[in-house]
Amino acid sequence: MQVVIAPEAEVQVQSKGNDPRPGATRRQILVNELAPDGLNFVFYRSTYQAGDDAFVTPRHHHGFQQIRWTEQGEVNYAPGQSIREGDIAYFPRGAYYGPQEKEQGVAWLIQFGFHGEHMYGPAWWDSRKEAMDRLKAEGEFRDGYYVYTDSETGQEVRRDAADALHSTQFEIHSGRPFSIPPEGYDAPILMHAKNFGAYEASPGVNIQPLGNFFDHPAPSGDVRFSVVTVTSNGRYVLDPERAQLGWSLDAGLVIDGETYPELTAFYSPRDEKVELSGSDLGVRFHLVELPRLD
Amino acid sequence: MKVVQFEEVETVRRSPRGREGSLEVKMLLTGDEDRADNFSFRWTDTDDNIYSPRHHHNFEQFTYLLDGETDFGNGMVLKAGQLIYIPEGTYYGPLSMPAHRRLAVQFGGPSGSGYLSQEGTTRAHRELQETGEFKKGVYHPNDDAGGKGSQDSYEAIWEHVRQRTIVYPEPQYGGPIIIAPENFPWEPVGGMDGVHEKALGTFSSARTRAAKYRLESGTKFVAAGRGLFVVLSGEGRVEDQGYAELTTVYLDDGEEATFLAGDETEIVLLGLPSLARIADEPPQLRVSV
Repeated sequence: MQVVIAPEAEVQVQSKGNDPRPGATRRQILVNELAPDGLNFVFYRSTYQAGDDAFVTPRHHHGFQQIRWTEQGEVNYAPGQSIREGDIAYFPRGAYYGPQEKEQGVAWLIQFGFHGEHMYGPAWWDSRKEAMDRLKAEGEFRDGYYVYTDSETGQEVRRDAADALHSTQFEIHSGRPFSIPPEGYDAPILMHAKNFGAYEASPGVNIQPLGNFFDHPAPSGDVRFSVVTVTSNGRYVLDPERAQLGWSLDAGLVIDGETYPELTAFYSPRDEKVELSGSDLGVRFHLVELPRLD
Repeated sequence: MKVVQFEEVETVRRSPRGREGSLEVKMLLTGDEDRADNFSFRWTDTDDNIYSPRHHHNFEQFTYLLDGETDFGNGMVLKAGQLIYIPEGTYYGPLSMPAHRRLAVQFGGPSGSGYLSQEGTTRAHRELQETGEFKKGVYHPNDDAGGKGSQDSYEAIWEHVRQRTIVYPEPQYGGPIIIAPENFPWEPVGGMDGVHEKALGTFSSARTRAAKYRLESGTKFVAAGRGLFVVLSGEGRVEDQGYAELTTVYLDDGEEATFLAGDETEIVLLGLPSLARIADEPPQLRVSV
């Protein structure tokens, strides 16, 4: 079990020389994991900046899945489409979105995949550096694109910067070509969490189910979203069958007997059984149950 | 449990109630109007002259496209073999559809707003024509009719039937969700040899499911849970009846049906929410003070 009080996490400023995307987003890495079953994720909090420091991308897609929750403000993800404060969105594998311009607000992001779908953490640093070096030697990162000259036609080619990096990195790391699967859901799925009805799961525990989405085969390949409210006399047990991530919306979340403030993030790996409780007034927390492939 | 044989249901040619255009329709199954989980399930063969303005509803919908292609507005295009889930309260359209055939179920969603019966809808449509005009998906009351001005056709029909102002539930999702089953892998179903599933999602706080099933020839599939199991291809038996293309099996909560596949069979599940997950009270009109 890992517990991180998000506002206290170290702040890193997006590095312009080492990131394929433009911007000077302030990021706080909350949890990063490469689990024995191949699950790889990074869970982080981003504070977006305006003007030349905004995070901008062209329309693109990924081979991994994403979850975005807006803590403050309104965070853009496509023309005319934003994730408003308190809303949460699921970005399926392969689904196109953007162009996006993230120039305000505070958002929490989870990017995850299995067996190289997502490439984050120490096991991937060497191949990332090699890929960046190789790409910079043959072209440049500009406005969210990777731009290079085709040696056969002499024409300038623009390609999504993250796609260029991920495919090069994967090929360096694994020796195999990288591919993004066709989308099962055609676009990001935006959930207005406050509008979902709740039901009592047990005394002192209410659950708002937000949806289960399958980007991997059933029976356990879905990612499950919910908001749980637990009071001081309620007990919510994180199921050891799945890796789970969550974050509290109110002060008073009790994890293993210790009380935490609002905006506390937690990660419960597979095979761990953890009990959560709350305050007399009730504590709300978002819960994401990650897929398992076995 | 109800089993409906597609060929035994009358085909009617008409306009969509209050909308522009023409279609052929088979009303395959309806629920109980007095229950908040009422539903209407139909097959339609739609001409290329349907038009509907951008609108929203206080009920939910699944549409499965059998052939052709159709649009749901804002660049959303549904292709043959794909499914769209339209949550209650979310806007979609304008619709100007090319010709296509579809299966569609409309049903009372998690807010408890329920769903009008076909009889009530037809009667209200007829009565409203006496005091106004339906044009391009909008109802325009005559000048001397009093009451509200122009409004969405279905909204006018709903208010005429219920005799109160419609209140739309706050949407749970940002918009309709298009699902491309062709991009989901088949997964064996535990305990049922030769049966494979594509789980397509569970939606809303009412936990409404969608899935596809493939039954190898000679295998047995036990379907369970509230929803419509629609045969897309193949022949065999379900309980004491034969099944063929577009045979539909409706199961209520707690019911099961056993399919015995004569040849390879494909089924789509259009799930329906259980009453236990639907709000007791529909959304109320907010009164300013």
